[in-house]
Amino acid sequence: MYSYSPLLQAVFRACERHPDKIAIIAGKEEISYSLLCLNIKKAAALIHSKGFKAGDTIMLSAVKEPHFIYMDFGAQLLGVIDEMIDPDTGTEAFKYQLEEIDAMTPFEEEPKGLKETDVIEILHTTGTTSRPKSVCLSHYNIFWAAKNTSDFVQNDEEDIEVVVMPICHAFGLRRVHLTLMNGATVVLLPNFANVQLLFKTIEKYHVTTFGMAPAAWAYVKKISGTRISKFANQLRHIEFGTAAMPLAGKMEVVELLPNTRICHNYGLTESNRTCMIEYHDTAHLDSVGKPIADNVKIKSIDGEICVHGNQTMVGYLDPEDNKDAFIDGFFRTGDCGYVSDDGYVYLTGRAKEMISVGGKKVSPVEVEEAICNLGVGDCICVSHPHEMLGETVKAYILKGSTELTFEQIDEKMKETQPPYKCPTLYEWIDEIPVNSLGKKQRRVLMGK
Amino acid sequence: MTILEETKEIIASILKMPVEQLDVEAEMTDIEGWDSLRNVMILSQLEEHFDIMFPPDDIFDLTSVKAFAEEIEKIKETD
Repeated sequence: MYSYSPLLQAVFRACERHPDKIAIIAGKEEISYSLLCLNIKKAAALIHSKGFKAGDTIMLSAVKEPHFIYMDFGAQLLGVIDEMIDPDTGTEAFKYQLEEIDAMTPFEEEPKGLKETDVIEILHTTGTTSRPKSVCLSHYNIFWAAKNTSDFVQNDEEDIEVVVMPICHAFGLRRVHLTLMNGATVVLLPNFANVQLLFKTIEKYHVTTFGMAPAAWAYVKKISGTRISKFANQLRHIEFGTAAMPLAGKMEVVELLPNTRICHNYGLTESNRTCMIEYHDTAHLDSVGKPIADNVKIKSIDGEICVHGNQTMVGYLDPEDNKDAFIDGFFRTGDCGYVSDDGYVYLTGRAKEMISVGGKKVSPVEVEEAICNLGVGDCICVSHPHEMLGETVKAYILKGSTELTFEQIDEKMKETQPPYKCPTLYEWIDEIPVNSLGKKQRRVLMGK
Repeated sequence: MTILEETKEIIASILKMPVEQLDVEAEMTDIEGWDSLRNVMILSQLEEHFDIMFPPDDIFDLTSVKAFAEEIEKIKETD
């Protein structure tokens, strides 16, 4: 059954083992494995009825609701490529009603001619240029992305996972996939805002695992102090991702949760989880850890970290983007670093100058363009450290290049941009630092 | 304007929603757009506007507009 999709196979096998076990909890709704699998087949029938065929692309708004999970797996069943749309961006996605899924007769056929290596998922990166890239992943890639992570964090069928991170990106999405693949239970929560609700959920459902960004940790700590330590003997593992955690933060997590396996991944949308470090490995906390699994190889080519593995993308959708993406079959991360003799990977700089605002990736180029569009001659945006959000955007505006005041720029930015893309600090600058090729040198301004 | 009305107005403007649509009793999770990023903005703008500091131990319980307003009233009374 579904030999082309090891992920789907694993979910249906879990259903055979325990059809009545709860797979998904969302609000008051509890969905068993048998209902999940039935709804996956119904979602497949709906997608099929709308004329989608294997190899076609369906744009799905990746909302954190059970119906998205049905549609995600339903498309996989048909070999229809899921293009994940961030619900916050307002990009038009395929429209459907839950009732439409409900009303369908389950799709019971086994599609023919599909292969593990077929592209099945498209995720969008933020990109350091203003144009985000579309990352193509195969059935095989997304299975191994989940499997490698599951093996490292030691997730199993008994676990209960609360998914709080967004699932339009790889970090949250793989948490959903790996939990259901193992036949465990996933509880969906909209976001981290209400920490009290998060703790009530952990208590009520005996949650044992979750994933979070370092910024979310800082937020949870600020809102709840040390209260999380009351779950010290309940939480089996936490996975951190999307950005680096300062050393003091790592020590703090270990102190509050001494018995919990604390894993931190390093990876990109293109390469999925690539390395993992466990925080109790205190001798190597300045590294990003070792390759997540034996099937993942990492080497430093001319100082750049490059990755090869079962989970590494097939390629970008746009052939233009693939020109410099790989070297000798290894994906180029754009991060500078080296691999030590004992196999740990150390990052020495970020070639891709993304700013991670509360875990949301912001491209400095995109913000610079938005500011220039308001009537500013030139500007340069860099990361600025923030106590709770990890980083925010700081904008240096070229002196004399605009008649606008900082207040006017700020006001217009807030009108047109989502809050995480709006700079929290403005400063005049006499000259925009550029290198000999005219490329903006953001690093020289960072931390100033 | 009462503290509750002022609080409601500030929170509505951060959430970019008409003030009359903001349910003061609702839990933040049930209000669209009230995520952790905006909650950080809400905390800091309310502190700035009312010239107060939320005691770290109390922030955990601030999960609705009403809870914020009552907390601000409590802090103002003890000032």
